Amino acid sequence: MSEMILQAERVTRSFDLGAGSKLEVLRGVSLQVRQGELLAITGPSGCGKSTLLHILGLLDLPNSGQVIYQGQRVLDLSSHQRDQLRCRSFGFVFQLYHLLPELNVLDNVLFPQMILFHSSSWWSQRGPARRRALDVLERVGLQQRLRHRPNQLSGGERQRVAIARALMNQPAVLLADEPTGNLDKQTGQEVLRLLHELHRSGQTLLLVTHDAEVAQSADRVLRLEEGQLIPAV
Amino acid sequence: MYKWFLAYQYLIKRRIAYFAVAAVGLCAAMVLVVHSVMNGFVDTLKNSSRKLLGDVILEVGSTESFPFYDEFIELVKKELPGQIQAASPVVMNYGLIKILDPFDRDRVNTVLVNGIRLEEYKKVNGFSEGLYYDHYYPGTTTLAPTSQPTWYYDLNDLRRLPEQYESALARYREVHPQDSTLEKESGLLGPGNWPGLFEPANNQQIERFLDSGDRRALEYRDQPLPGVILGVEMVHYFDSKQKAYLRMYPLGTKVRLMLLSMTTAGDVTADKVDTHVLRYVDDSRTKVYEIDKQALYCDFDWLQEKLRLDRLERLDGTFSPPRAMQIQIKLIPDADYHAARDIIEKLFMERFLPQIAPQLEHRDLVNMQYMQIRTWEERNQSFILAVEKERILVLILFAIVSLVAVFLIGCIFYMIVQQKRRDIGIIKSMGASSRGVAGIFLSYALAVGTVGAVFGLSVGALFVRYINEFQDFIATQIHPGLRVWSPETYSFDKIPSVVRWEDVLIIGAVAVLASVIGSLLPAMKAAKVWPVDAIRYE
Repeated sequence: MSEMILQAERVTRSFDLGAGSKLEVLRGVSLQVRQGELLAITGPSGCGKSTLLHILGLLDLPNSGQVIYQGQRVLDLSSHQRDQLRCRSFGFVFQLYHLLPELNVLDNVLFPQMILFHSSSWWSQRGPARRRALDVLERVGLQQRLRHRPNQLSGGERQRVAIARALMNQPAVLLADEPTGNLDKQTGQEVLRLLHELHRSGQTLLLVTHDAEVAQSADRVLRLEEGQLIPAV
Repeated sequence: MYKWFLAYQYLIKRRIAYFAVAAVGLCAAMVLVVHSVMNGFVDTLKNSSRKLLGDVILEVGSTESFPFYDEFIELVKKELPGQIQAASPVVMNYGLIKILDPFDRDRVNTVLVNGIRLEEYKKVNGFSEGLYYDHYYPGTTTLAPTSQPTWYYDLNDLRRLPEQYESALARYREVHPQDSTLEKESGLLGPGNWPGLFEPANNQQIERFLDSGDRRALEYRDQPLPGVILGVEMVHYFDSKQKAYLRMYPLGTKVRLMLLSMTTAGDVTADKVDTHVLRYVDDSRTKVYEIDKQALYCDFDWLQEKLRLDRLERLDGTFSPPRAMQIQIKLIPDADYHAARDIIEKLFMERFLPQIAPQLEHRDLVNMQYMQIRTWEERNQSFILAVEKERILVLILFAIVSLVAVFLIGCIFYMIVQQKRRDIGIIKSMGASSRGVAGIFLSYALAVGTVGAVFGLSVGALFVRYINEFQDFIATQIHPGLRVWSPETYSFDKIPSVVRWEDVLIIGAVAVLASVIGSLLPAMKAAKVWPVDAIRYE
């Protein structure tokens, strides 16, 4: 059995709706993600899948509970330490791609490396970072579109750029939030194929989707219902 | 690194930043223009007032006179050997003049009459630099009685000026062979050109020449009259067709001067009004409008006599010594005039005054105990300080106006942060800290401020460089009423300006700082954006 990489313990998260009412989205969710695993979390829209993903990726904080990354209780870390951990260890792929519109494909992909390296070390890392960006872009099949801006790309291409960007800092865990949700079936299949390739190469992948067909291809599928995770049938 | 990179990308790719750049640039340009013009104004004022006076000035009051001025000048020269370049006494009075123009273009002016020893006076201050005829015809200007110089045709039918003027002009040409202003100054060239600044010889002169064969009969006419140098504003006018100032009166025009009758104590008496006729021999341009409009210069001894300040016999048969109202002392170049002033003051109070006290009337002794011995700066201090304060005030006002730019940048950056909420979320999802996100917007503001400052200061410096040409263009091409600079109001005939590099650097630094300050709140707001909110609400 492979090593545990990411873990959630009795995580709760609620949203204040005003006038004293609260929406409880996660009610003591516990979860374990193993190294190299492709885990899919499914559930109806608005059930809290993305919220769980954000908490696991240190983008959001739970009201209670704990997130453990490689044995480290990450919620006990300072904000700055969590930012650094997120930068080094997590890669995000969003449904709406979320590329920076002012930057071209290459710069979008290089950007996480700019965040990773301090200004002083950037100049020495620039060459290797660029070579790595070109490798990653070749891997997602976009080596010919380096100078294109996001608005000059199709949806599928944008998502592939987003995947390349997420892979740039060689994250331990790739978190994908409805990665095919905004794509047509064929393009979605291509993106899914790419994610499976990554998984096969050993990348740990946490996939959030409401699409049962997408979830089926995962090693393990969990369903989020009424704020609780249950194994999918 | 990503902060600068993204700030640069935003700067070149987001049009809204151009407004911020323009706001910073315009404010920097505005402050630079105002500051440079005010600096120029103060500097010109200082330079002009520097040239009006000697380094050290002695006077009791504006119209009170004192005796033994030549004796004190001698003592100063003796006690400060090698320190004194020149010293000269001045007498002053107020009066009215009427220029007796042959074409009836009479002008009546109130004047401040200065009695000067011309050659000495030219050495103690910058008076000689502003003399028009003495510039082109060096050595011809004199306050001694002269007849009117005239031009005439010689046997070769060439126009000739009096020998004295032609040789002086030849000397000038020798020294200044490349002087382009000579070409512009038509009328100065003598033969071959219309010498409009001189009167032509009349029939009587020609008859006298034919009778005597003496060429001088053609060169001068009328009886000799004491010379007078008039402030240039009294004798010239602006010709809108030629777009140039032209002199209205030919050299040698008679001037009637009415002097106030004053006592030796400086009191105005109602005994009688003295009128005298003098001859216009030159005009003076100090570049201070008020002085050029009012000042008139005549011979020291002549005015001293007319004001009864010369050596007069008293009722008891003794003589009162001649009197002056001011002594101007010029020190050698680079001398410390503050130190020299102290020495001269000590010399006057501790040695000279006790020495002459037995010969002084009581009133003079009291007056001379309050002799004001000042450097040229101290004498003009109140005037210069007022303008200095005005400069600071104007600068503060414009700096306050420039605060608008800070608010504008704040608003623009607030808009940018609002528009970029999603980007902020994405950047944070990649691991950027809140401080890093704030850093992006502060770097962006720094870039906007720097570009704006460079742009604004360049435009401002260029505008200042051509400010007079710009004003002339607007006034001549669009509407004369748009001429904002009035020599009557501001004393100088052109808009003065000085661009100092240290000021440019300070204004630039303040512009950049203002830009960063303006972006502080929006940057803090950006830092506080919760990434999930920013991404979720897309």
